[in-house]
Amino acid sequence: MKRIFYSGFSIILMVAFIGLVVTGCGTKGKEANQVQGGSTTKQQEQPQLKYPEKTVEFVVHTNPGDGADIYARTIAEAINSEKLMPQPMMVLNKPGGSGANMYNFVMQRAGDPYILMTAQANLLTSPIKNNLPLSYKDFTPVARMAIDPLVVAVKADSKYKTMKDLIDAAKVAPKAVTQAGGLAGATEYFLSYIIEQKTGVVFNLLPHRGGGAEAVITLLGGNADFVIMNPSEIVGQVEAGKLRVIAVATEERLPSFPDVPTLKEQGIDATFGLFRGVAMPKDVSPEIVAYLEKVLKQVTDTNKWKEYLKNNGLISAYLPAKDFKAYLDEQAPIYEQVLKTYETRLAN
Amino acid sequence: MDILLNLAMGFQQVLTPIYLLFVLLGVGFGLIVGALPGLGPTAAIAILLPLTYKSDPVLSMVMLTGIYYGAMFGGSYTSILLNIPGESSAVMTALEGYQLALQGQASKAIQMANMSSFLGGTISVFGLTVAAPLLSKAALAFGPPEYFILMMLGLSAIAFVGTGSPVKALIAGCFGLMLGTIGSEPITGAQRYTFGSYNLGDGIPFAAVAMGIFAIAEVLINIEKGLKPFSGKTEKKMRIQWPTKEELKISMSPAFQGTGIGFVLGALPGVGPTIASFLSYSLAKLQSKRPEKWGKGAIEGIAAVETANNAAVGGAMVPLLSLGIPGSSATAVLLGGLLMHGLRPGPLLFSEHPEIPWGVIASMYIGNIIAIIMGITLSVYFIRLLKLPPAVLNVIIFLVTIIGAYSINNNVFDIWVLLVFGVVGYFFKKVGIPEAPVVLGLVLGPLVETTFGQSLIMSHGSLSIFVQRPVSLVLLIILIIIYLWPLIRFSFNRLKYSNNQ
Repeated sequence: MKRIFYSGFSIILMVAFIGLVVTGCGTKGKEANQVQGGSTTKQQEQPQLKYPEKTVEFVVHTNPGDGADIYARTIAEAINSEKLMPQPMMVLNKPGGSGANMYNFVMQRAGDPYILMTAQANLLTSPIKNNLPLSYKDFTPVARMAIDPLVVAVKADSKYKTMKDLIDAAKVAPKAVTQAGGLAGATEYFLSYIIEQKTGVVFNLLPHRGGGAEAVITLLGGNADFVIMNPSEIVGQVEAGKLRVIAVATEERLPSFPDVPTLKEQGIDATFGLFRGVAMPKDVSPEIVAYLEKVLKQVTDTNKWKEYLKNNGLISAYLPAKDFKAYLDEQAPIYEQVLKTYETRLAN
Repeated sequence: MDILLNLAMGFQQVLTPIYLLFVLLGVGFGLIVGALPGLGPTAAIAILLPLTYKSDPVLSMVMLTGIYYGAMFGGSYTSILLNIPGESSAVMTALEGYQLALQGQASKAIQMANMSSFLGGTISVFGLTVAAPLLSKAALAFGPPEYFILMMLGLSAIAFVGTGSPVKALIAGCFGLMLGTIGSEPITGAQRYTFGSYNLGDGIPFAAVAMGIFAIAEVLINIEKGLKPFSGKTEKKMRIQWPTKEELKISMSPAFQGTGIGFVLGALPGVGPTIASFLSYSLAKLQSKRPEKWGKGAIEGIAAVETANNAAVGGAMVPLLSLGIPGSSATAVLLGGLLMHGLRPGPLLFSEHPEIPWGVIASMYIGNIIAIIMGITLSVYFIRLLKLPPAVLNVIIFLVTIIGAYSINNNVFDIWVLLVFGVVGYFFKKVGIPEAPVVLGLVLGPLVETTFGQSLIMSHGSLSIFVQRPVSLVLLIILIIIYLWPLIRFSFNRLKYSNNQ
């Protein structure tokens, strides 16, 4: 009986321990990260501002390994390894509810200067799509860091060589040309909406539950005509000669695809890219925002950051807090309008 | 020849102490994560991913892949011992394995699961080694219409995974399908039955439902019965019991069939181990010479399920390594791992960074051996769980499932789902409605709906798309034959009967 008791007791301990390890691992990882960056020896640049006095958390709305996560980790890594702040920055993942989990988490921390969060297209779209009782105005913009450009790609053996070929084919009949994309209402349908507006065609939209990767499979299998993606999502396929980029939606040509003309060059006056920025909870003091915006500016000069931009085909597009806010105010109505028309575009 | 050389290179790399240590860590962590309910391989890989940020990419990939197949191994233990499916793909293992455990054959069931996992895992890695480029091409031939018919085929499994009355199985299946409609509508993104709660926006958390309906319901039943000791004939000696020769013999064909199904379905993006395990189980039951034993502890059922869900891992690595495209949520996180190291996964991975795919493939051979050794060793300890007094054991199950449900999304809402479905599962048990079809309907429903919608978008609303494409037509014919099979058999028997007259 005693033995049973002891083995029982040890198993309870074991299970409790395992539970702790498993749930605690998420934080352990960050502790490991902060150790190497944790240097408090460097003097603060603004002695009057006592900030930061402890670890700054950078919250991400996706799982580790997703685009937003790699973006946040690059920033944290640059800050920690170059010692741009006296205290380390650690990345915290709050995935789920297509961003809602993170927004709720950050909303509850109003006034907390030790919380940063990813601010990207999702911040403008998720509240509308998911009927969340919040908007981008409930957060403090800190800085825009980069623009993730969008490109139009077709299968390598596609008959469409230029945007003109694609638009001409689409003009034959409404929905004659199919765009494969990610989740319903995802940002890849925004650029196609703008193209539709400029050229008067109507595309056939084919959404995928599994996101962009599934859309690429559909395209590779010849079940759709084109995709609109960030360069990082398709560059591997392009290099292998499986996909071909026919247009980029930027003002100037992309360094990663120097031979591909822009939409403008091809007579379609459309530019669109997805911003990647940083925001904070409401009611954070302006001095702290100013401090962080300066730190983030320094991040853009690090090699780590430049390498990240190059690897992922992003364009450096730093904007300080004030300009970032103005940018969000300008973009929000566009996002809202595109989202509202999405369902009617499907129904047509 | 090239393959052999590359594989040798991979082994050379992996057979060094540091790599072996990482494989061991990955597989060990995977076994634990798989055995614990809730936290699946995807979440486990995601948690460990940041830790590998600084290490060598091959090393981190080897470890993260180890978690993936380790979790498939571990998923069977708690299913068999406690009726908690640690993984969605282990639901059918729970169905047969727990019955065996009740009969005092837990150890035997676990060893069968270990051997099947090893067999499925190893053969599928072999398949990955020799057939990856070929299979990835074949996978691309599958578009939405083909997937739709495949999912419909999967739905036919409702008829097999339920025990007892077919009508009750159908009720359970429809209940699952209805649950699957909660959340964002896949084509338009409109919110359905969410009552304004963002918690339901992504749909009902599936793992919480499975744990509630199986484990919590079981706890409630146990409490009602007055917490009697686990089983009248719990093994006195906690020795390893092996399946008998006879049992191995009848498990042979389900095992190899399961491996094939798992590998091929695993390689199809978006299908994955859960559907593979359900289909493998159904097919094996259909062919079984003793179908009356199924659902009451048929050990060959475990062989069918565990080979399928482990082989699906090898399959899922096919599109990831050869196309640079993830076919499942777990491989999507693995892809994130490659991106994190600044690599550009794509079809050129094999030629530009051969050390990564070949290192991973070689590590999977070794990892499977490590996993079966660890699995057999650990099983001795796991079985001791059954010796605990029921009052303690049921509390542990209760707590572990609650922690597990929370850990999926770090969201308290999932715990409520777990508890609500625990009560639902309790009433289902009372009236004899089987649980497995609920899970099947919930998994497949959204997929059926999405692929059907996608097919119609492709064809501009015409149903003819399902017969115009050759692959889809063949699948459709198979589907019709399977759906009409009882009718065909019935009329065939009648014909024979009237001839005899």
